[in-house]
Amino acid sequence: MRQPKKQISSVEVRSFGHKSNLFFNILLAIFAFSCLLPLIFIIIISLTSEQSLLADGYQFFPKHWSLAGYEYLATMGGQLLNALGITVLVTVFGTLVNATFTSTYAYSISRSSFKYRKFFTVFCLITMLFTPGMVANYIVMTNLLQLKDTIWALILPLAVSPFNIIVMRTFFKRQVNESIIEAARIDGAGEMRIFLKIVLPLAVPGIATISLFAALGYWNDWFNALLYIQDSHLVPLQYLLMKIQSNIEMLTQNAAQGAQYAGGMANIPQEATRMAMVVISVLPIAISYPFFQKYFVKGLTIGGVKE
Amino acid sequence: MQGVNSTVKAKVKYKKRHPSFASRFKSNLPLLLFVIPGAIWMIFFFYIPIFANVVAFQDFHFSAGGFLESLRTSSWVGFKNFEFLFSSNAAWVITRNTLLYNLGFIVLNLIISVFFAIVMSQLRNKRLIKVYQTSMLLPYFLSWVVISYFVYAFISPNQGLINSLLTGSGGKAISWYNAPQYWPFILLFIGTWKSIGYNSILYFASAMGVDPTLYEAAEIDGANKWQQIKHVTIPALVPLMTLMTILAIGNIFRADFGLFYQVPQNSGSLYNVTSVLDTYIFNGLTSTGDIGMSSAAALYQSFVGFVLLMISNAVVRKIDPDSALF
Amino acid sequence: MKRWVKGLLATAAVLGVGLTIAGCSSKKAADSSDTKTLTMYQIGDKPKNYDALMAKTNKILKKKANAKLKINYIGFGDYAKKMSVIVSSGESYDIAKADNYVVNAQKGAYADLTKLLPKYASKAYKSLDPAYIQGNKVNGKLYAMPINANVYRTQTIAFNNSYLKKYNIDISKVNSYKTLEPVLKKIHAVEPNVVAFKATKGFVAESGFDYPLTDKMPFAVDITDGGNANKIVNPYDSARTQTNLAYLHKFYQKGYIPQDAATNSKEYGLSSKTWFARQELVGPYDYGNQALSTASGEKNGIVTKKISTPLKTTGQAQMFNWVVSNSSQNKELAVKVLGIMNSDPELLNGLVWGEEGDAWEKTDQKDKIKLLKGYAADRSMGAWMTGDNSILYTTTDVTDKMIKERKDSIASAKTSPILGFNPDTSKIKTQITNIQNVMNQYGDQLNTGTADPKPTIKKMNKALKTAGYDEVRAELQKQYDKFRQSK
Repeated sequence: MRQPKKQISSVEVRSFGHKSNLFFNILLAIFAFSCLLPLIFIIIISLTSEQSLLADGYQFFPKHWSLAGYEYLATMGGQLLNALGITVLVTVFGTLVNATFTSTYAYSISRSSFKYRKFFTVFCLITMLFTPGMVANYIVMTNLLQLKDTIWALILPLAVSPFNIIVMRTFFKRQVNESIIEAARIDGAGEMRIFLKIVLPLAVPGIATISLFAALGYWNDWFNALLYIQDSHLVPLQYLLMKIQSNIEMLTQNAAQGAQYAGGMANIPQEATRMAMVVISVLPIAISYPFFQKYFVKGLTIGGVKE
Repeated sequence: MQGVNSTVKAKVKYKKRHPSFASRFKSNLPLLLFVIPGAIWMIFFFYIPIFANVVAFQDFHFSAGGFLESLRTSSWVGFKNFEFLFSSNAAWVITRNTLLYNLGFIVLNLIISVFFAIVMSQLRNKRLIKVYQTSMLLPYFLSWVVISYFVYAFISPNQGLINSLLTGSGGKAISWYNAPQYWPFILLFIGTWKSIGYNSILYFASAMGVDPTLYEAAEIDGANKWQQIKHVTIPALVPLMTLMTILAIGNIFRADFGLFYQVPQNSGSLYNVTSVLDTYIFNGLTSTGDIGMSSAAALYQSFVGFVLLMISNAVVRKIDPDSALF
Repeated sequence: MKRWVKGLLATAAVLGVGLTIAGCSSKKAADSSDTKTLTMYQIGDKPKNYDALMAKTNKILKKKANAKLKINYIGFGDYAKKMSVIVSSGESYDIAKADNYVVNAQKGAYADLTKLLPKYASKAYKSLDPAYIQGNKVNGKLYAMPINANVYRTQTIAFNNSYLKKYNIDISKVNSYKTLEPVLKKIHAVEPNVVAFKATKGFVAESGFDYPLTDKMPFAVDITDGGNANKIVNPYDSARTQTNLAYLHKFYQKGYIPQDAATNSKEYGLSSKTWFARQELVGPYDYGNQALSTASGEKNGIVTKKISTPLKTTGQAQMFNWVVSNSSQNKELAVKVLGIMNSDPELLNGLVWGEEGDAWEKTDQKDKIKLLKGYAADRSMGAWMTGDNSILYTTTDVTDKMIKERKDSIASAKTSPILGFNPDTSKIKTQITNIQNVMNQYGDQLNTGTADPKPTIKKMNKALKTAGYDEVRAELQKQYDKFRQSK
């Protein structure tokens, strides 16, 4: 358990020489910066005044700055906080469910001693190839499962990812040696014990990866909310932001339509608000990701030092 | 192997009809239980609703009795709903674009993300790797709409950064959204750029899973860095590379809608190089909203994908049975 | 056959049964209490004081029809998508804002109201301009309770009055794109950064046509005096359209129209000073320039110049339709409720203006009100999307003379020859889908002036031909001939 020094030296074997290390660092840094740029850019737009936006378009160095976008969003603070709460709840719980279901399924079909492995592999593959229609999904969710307007309607549709099952299956096949499992079985360990004590620690990098993607999926999901959620207390962040945006657009467009009754709506800083919403929806995950990544990378190194 | 005694009786009972079924079931039960939650999910969210796809062969009309009643009473029209995918001159253009772009993405993604994954796995500065990964994943979770604004900031006709540079250095401004010749490169670049983070992290996880003793052994044998990568790292990544490629081929008839719709801002003059199946279906069906035709389109994409996936899997199985999907 | 294949087939059979069960459990038991609650789907955002607004409404509804109303709001951007899923799934609801009205009516999504409306909502029905009833007939039947509002529309060029005053620009001669040119030239010379003429994605040049499908589709009927109103033609073939597009192209080249017009969907807000002229549709309930000016929030307001004659069109008639679901268990009651919503001034004004006493109060003039501090867009419901505008109270800004003018103008407005021509496109939907794509490619380029009209129209027509233009035109003509005979 406690021999970290030796382990680190074994990580050392897979490293570049100093010169190529520097070269590749620069290369990656440039690329990584190009990936960061959009976020910086969006923050800039969100702080640009509407006038500048309309006159000069999107600029990295706008002439006039303004907080109007955030001010407009602040007027619906309570609603935003509630939506953020829903999103966090759904993301955390959903990711747990997703990682569990996905990895147990993948583990089973990765084991060559599992007799029904072919059936369940194909069973899973088929789901990736075809797409059931939206209408049919809607009927299953609302009629058969009766889950319309519940938090489950946001969690269940993403609770398993067939694509990740297939990825994890390959991962287990490669990283988990059948002979270890055989040995454990001879020692009298049950399948559950083998999975928890032997397989899981080996699979942490893979599980960390699929959890990350599951979490992103939940965080960014708005479509299930569109279909299944009517209750305003259950609206997740992304969907709320989309709703705010499309309503602003419509109100400004239709200002003439219902004009005499809807005066004043035309003054919302559209573009800046839109970007402020993007910032609000991206920033929490961009900020929390590095913390999350600590465990993620730890997982990666544990995965690397298997016997 | 315990508990065999207790099931002997049951075994004997079934022995005549199913010689090994009961015992096989018993020994597979724990793993079967692992599969059950996922399988149930697939039943509810795929295998039940998938039957509604029969609507692709119908002229759908509503009935007061609900959806199933509507399916029952709607008339069958054979392949008529599929016709719009093949009946105009655009059919050739969209099929060509969809295939070529996806092939481009498969190749570029494979090469670049494996390259990045290997580079990251070999870097000395573990902290920096973290920073790189965090930033590389950012584009992956930005929506296409946001990325389209970003692209617009560079190439907008009046105030775009590139045009400012061009005119600043005495050149002529380019009306990018009306200049189809540049777009294949722009789209390939943006599409690859956005997904590199995701893919290279997948490969990175796999590369970090390689047993370090293998490197030690290679080093002792006198292998240099490049030889180590070639003989240890890459072979370890091949199964995942094969898998990702087979899966991508299965989706080769599905284009990333946002990339081809939002980023070129659905500009009409670019249609020859930006129009793909998904945008064509979307543009054609938004106003009519015909669910028969949209299921037909989805079915067509799935069917072609299915055939291609079977073929590529068969080829892989011939070469390396271990890497095949099934 | 491999074992797992057999297994899959067996599973498939079981699941088929599952789907059947899913469908069957959809019928819910009817409410047993005697005051029935009707479910309504409405577009937009829920008003912040929804409970207070509905408390009053439901009190009136309970008294008059022993019913209650529950409104579910779906956002503007999501309405079409969500409603099409709800309608297709056969989910039970009672009333909704129609979405894709003609097609859904043809497919049987809505209840036939031809007899129900005169019977259960006679007052609201009688108050409708006849153009509404004619314009909403699909195969001879009426499926909607339209909202009586801007029954005719006039295409106008709207000008930002601040600029007109500042530079003393004379617009009295403007009545077409041609006469607009010198005005744009003037403003562009002094304010090069202001968008002289706002044309963005989706803009369609006005050339005197009415469209049986949509104005984005190249099928039209000439509605000018002396034009042949009996024939469905391609509007882009007409010399009139081509001349107009040539002017727009000129505007584009000279920089009056922004460079990125064909791809730009940015809204130049009415209240912003970023634009000088734009095209706007104006109707009777806009009271001339008043509605636009109010929306702009500007002291100087907005001035409009007509470029077409007032016309009652199918598009105006179908502007906002209430429909009753074919799956509703309470069709008669739903019609009754719609009738009350469109005829009871107390109920309607309580929704459109907000809570009386808080948002507005009556004045000593009849049907005139004064707005109070509590009036806000998110504490009331839009007039165009709630009920009959002719029974709405007005603010004191609207004079009796203006109301009289409104009534006269409605009476004198012409009717489009294709009012009520709602063609059945189910036989030609393949071609229509293809044509839709061709128009997406060329429509914006042409109408925003981005492309040179002559060669582009040539290319477009070639593409239209292979997409099946002739078949669609012939089919529409056939149905149109029939429609004219039956009139």
